[in-house]
This record gives sequence, C-alpha cells and structure tokens, in this order.
Amino acid sequence: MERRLTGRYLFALGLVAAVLVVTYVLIVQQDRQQRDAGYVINIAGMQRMLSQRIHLLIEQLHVRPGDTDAAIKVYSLGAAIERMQDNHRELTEGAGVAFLTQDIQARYFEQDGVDELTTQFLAAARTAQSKISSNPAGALEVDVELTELERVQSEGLLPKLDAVVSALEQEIAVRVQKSIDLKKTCFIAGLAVLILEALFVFAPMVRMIRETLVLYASANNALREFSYRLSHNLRAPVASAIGLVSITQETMANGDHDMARDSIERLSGAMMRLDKQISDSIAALKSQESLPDPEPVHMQQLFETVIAKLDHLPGFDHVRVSTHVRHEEPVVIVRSYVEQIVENFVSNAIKYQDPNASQSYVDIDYDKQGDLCEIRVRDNGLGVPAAHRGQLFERFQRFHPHAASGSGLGLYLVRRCAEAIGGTVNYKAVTEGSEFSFVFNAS
Amino acid sequence: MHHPQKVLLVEDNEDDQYIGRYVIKKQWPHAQIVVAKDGLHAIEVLEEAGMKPPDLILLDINMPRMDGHEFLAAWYGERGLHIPVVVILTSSEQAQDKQRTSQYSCVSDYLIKPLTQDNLATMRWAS
Repeated sequence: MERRLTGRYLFALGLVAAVLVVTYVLIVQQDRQQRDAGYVINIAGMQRMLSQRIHLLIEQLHVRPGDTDAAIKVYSLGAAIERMQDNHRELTEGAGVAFLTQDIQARYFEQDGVDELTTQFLAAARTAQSKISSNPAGALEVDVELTELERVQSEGLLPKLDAVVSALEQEIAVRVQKSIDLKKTCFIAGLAVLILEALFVFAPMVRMIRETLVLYASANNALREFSYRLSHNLRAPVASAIGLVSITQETMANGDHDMARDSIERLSGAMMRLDKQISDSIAALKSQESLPDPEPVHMQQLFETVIAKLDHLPGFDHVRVSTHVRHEEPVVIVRSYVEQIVENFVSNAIKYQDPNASQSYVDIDYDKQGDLCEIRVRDNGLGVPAAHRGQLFERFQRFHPHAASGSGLGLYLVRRCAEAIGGTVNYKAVTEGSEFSFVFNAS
Repeated sequence: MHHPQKVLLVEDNEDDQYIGRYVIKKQWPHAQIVVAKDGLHAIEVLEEAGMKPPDLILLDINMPRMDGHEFLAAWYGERGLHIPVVVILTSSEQAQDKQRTSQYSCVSDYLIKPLTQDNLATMRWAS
C-alpha cells in the first residue's frame, strides 16, 4: 500500500516537474527570439536613419568646408559610416540571419537589392569621407560621391529599407503570435496534466488514504474491543483467585480444612483458566505475525500428535476418538497452523461432549480431491445453539460456559489461522452434535 | 446497619458464586442466599410463584444468555416493576458499564470483584 502510494505520488510529481521544465525551456527560447527580433528591427530601422545622416553630413561639409563644426562633423561621419557597415554585417551575417525569410532575402540579395545598394552607398560615403578627412578643402570635391549617394537613395535604398523593416515587423508579429500560442498550449497542457493527475493519481490516492484510514479505524476499534475483553477476561480469574485466597486463609485459620482444600482446588482451576486465557491471547497476537514456512506433513501423524496433546483433558476417557485418513501422501502445509485448527476442533468436541450420550465420539476425517484438501471433525456433543452460529468464529464467544471454561478465543484463532494459509473453516449442524471442517488448497 | 433477610446473587462463574455465598454468609449469617446463573435464570427465580422477593440483588454484568444490562432492561426498564436494591458486582471497570447501570434508580452501588465483607459493610443502599 505504502509503496503504491509513494510510486503514484512520485509519478505525479515527476509529471508536473516535466511539464514545468518543458514550459520553462520553451518560454526562455521564445523570449530570446523576441529579444533578438527587437534588436534586428532596431538596427534595420537604424540603417535608414544612418543613410540620411551620412548624406546630410557630407552635404553640409561640401557646402561649408572648414566651418567651426567641421571636425566634429567629420568624426560623426566616420562613426555613422562604421555603424552602418557594422549594422549591415549584423543583418546579413549576424543575428539578422535568423530573420531572413524568403521575402526579406529577396529584398536584400536581388539585383539592386538592399545589400547591393548599401554596399554602393557605403563605398561612395567612404570615398567622400576619405577626401574630406585628408584635406578639409577636399570637401569641395565630393560632388561625384554626393551624386552617387543621391542616386543610391533615389534608386530605392530608403523605401527598400522601409520594406525590410516592415517585413521584419510582420515576421516578428508572426513569431510573437506563435509564442503566445505556444504559451497558451503550455498552459492548457499544464492544466490537462493537473486534471489527469487529479483524476488518475490524486483521486485514487485520496481514495486509498480514505480506505486505509477506515481500515485503521476499524482495526483500532477491534483492538480496543479486544483489549477491553482481554483485560476483563484476565481480571475475572484473578479477582476470583484473590477472593479464594482470602477464603483459604480464613478457613485455615479457623481450622476448616475441608473448605480450605475446596478453595485451593478452585484456586487451581482459576489459575488454569488464567493460563489458558494468556496462552490463547499470545496465540491470537502471534497469528498476526509472519507466517511460518510450510513443510510436508503426514496427516495421520499430525492427528496422532494432536490427540496425544489432548489426552489430559477432563472427559477425554469418555470419548471415542477415531481418525480416517483417506489420502496417505504427505501434503505441504504450515504444520503449526493446521495442528492448532485440528486441536481446537477436537478439544471443543471433548469439552462439549453430551453427558447424556451413551457413547460420545469424535471422528477426524481427511480427504483430498485434486489440490483441494478437507479435514472434518464430527462429534455427537452438545452442538451450537442456532442463535449463536453466526458469531461462532468471532472473538470472545462462549456458548456452553457451564460445560467447560474457555477464553472464547479458540474458534477465532482457528479462523485466523485458516485465513492466513488461504483456507476456510465451516460449521455444519448435524442431527446430533457438530461438524467442523477446514478446507484448504494443497498447491 | 442493614441486615437483608434474603439476597439474590446473579453470577455465572462458579468460583464467584462460591466466594459470594461465603462472604454473604459471613456478613449476614441469617440471610437466605439464592443463586441464579444468569439474568434469565434470575427472572425465573423472581417470577417463581409465592417467592418472597429478595432485599438485595448482587448482579454480575458479563453473563451468557442474558447479561446484567439485559436483566435490568427486561426486569426494571421494560416492566417498570418495583424491584429490590441492586448492587452491581463485576470485574469490569469500564466507565460505560458503570454509566449504563447508573441510569436505573434501583442500582445503588457498583462493586469491583472480588466480593469482600468490607464491600458489603460499606456499600450504598440507595442511589
């Protein structure tokens, strides 16, 4: 039970952990792509601005070479050209490659595409920069480059850059939508896993726990009842013994030896009942422990052992005990359990013999059909009153308290032993007396 | 000091019957002692024609056929008849046994076995 619960619980935890890990990996991947997309859009947009700035700076230096800001403008021009060159490389070879869809590739790499126009634009800008940097007066000689820059711009660098940015935006919008869809899918998958776990893992677990609690509560109640009955059954003979000892002491002091002897005899009986009660209680507790190993047993031998153990019982001599073993082969069984079952059946038959019967008897019969074995113990004793037959194999049941003493645990123990080895015990009322049987499977 | 003329001892255990007879006789030498082996037998004894009712019933709880609770319910609870003083005599110290018997006004005391002369000398005669 505990292993099954732990297994299920670990499985459920593993499933939740797997869903969380997959979701985390997917979301991180999506976030990185979005971060890259933002960066690519940013540099694509920047290219447009840089081309205009480069053109403007060269134009200003051309119109007013050597003005007070010329040095700064020359520096800015160089930085803008470098930046545009880096951006172009990033878009065509770096992070931008991931976003080069077929449409964007066509806009970049077709004839007179962004790649070619940007290269031409940068070449013209570098030539102009070179002339201006080497000689401030050289700014007056960049007409050709200005014309080239204007040609490239007019031939579509700016609108094509706009189109690329727009295409990138569309591509990124598609990817963002996919990311949203993915997160939605992860969320739904997570919920589905939780629902499945609730249905197939947690609900059965809760059911198992509830059933276990009911079992424990029932076992606890049974144990409480057992303890109460046991303490009462132990206390009763002890209380009798205390009273009897007191009477013995008084009668001995008064010289009434006959009564003292009678009290001592009764005291002995009370002690024997107490001993029997304790032995049966220990046996009841032992029957809940681990099962002894089975061994091959000859039934006739087992019956003889049992009969020998019972020959001291009062009334044994008045009962004719006979055995009928119809199958001689040894059978593999838990010897001590079967012995206890047979012993209990036979001792009951002796204790509860009918004093009015002309000849009391106990017949012990063993037969085997295939793997099915049956031991039957039949007697012509007092039998069991019909009203009590339903509780026959329950704890603390005594039906003939005046005929003999007992702990009331005997037949309960018989049932426990039989069940422990997969057998059943039954009672059958017969015309005169009782028939108890124990059926078990030899395999 | 009470001196009952007749005591009914309702007890299934033969040793406890023996102790009961001895102790009652010692405490009240002139009392007549009648023994019933269970609740059903006690009712038979009480219903016996011309039977002089006992002054005291010493009643065990755990008995076959009809236990002490069933006897009280049958004789007192259901019939509502006036019955003599009942003193419970048991080895059960369970609170629920004591509580169940205390609902009957005829039950005056609850003694734990074994019965002694001290018990009889000091027991309550009215609840």
